[in-house]
Amino acid sequence: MNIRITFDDSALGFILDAFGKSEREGFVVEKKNPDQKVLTPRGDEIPLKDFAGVRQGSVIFVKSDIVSLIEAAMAMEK
Amino acid sequence: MGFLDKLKTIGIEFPKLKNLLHINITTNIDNSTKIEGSTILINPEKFNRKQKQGLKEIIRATALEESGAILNQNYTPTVDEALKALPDIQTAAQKYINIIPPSDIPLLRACLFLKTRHDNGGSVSEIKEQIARTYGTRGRNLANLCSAGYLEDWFWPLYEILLKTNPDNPETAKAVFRIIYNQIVSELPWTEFVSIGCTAATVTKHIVKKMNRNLQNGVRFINIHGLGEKNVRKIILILPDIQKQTDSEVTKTTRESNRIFIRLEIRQQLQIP
Repeated sequence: MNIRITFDDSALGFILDAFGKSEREGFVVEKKNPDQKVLTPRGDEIPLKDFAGVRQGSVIFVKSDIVSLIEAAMAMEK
Repeated sequence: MGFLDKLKTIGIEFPKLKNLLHINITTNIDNSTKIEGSTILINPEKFNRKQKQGLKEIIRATALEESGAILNQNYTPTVDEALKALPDIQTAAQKYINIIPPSDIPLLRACLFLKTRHDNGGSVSEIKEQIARTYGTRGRNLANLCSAGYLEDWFWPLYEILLKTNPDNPETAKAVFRIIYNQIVSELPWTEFVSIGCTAATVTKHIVKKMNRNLQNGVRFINIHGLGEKNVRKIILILPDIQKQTDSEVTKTTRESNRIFIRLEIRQQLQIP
């Protein structure tokens, strides 16, 4: 069984920073280029309130919708 | 080198820890680390600058690989539910992976999750809204079709018939299936899922329009589904008017506590010799 790694809302900034991202105007953006919003594999922008985490598959940013959360569960199964 | 070994390289050790299952990163603890059963709580704000930088690298390079995903714990209940349902979802989805459009596969998994939650008596309205927000009407339609059992009762038998009628050409069977599948998922031509957001008058108009259009294509029936007490009442209320407008009769009714299914068929016109 894989070790489960989570974070809570208080550590959200630290997790984004660890992956070179930050927040601007309510969206997850590239830290080095804040004009560039981070997108999901389906091309959706990620509002900070909907940022659910990061999953494998290179590094994929996860939104909090059910389609994305199922994909995150699949990544945890691998 | 695993996550714990990597932590040792930045001076963080847990010699007494026997069985690590969970690491939670939080700034809501007073110390840099805390052990709670099989969980380690880590507060990066209590680390020195070098350790903090090292922890970021470990999270990026080792933690993600080791865990598959690093998730906000607000969403772990839903992810746990998905993990539990995943074997059944994958088995059910496997049959359709090569015959429906590839872009619909994640949608199908979400719809199967919705059905599992619904069958287990869980709340589905928020999940259905998420599916509709991500995939539009097509997503809402497939979610409704899956929940009502059409995947197994209609789509798969259709594919099997197409395979039988094209025994030497499965690609043709697949292509024809995909055309029919796309039309049904986009338009729901012979099915109406009554939504709480639509008035009785709107639903009546919609069903009558669908039935008249279907009749032009030789299809004389429509299946009406309603979920929830208000929708059940709405369907019962509008049924006489729809029957009057379309000259149709109820040929099947299934009613449970908060669910209704009605099949309406347009009467055959008498042929005068």
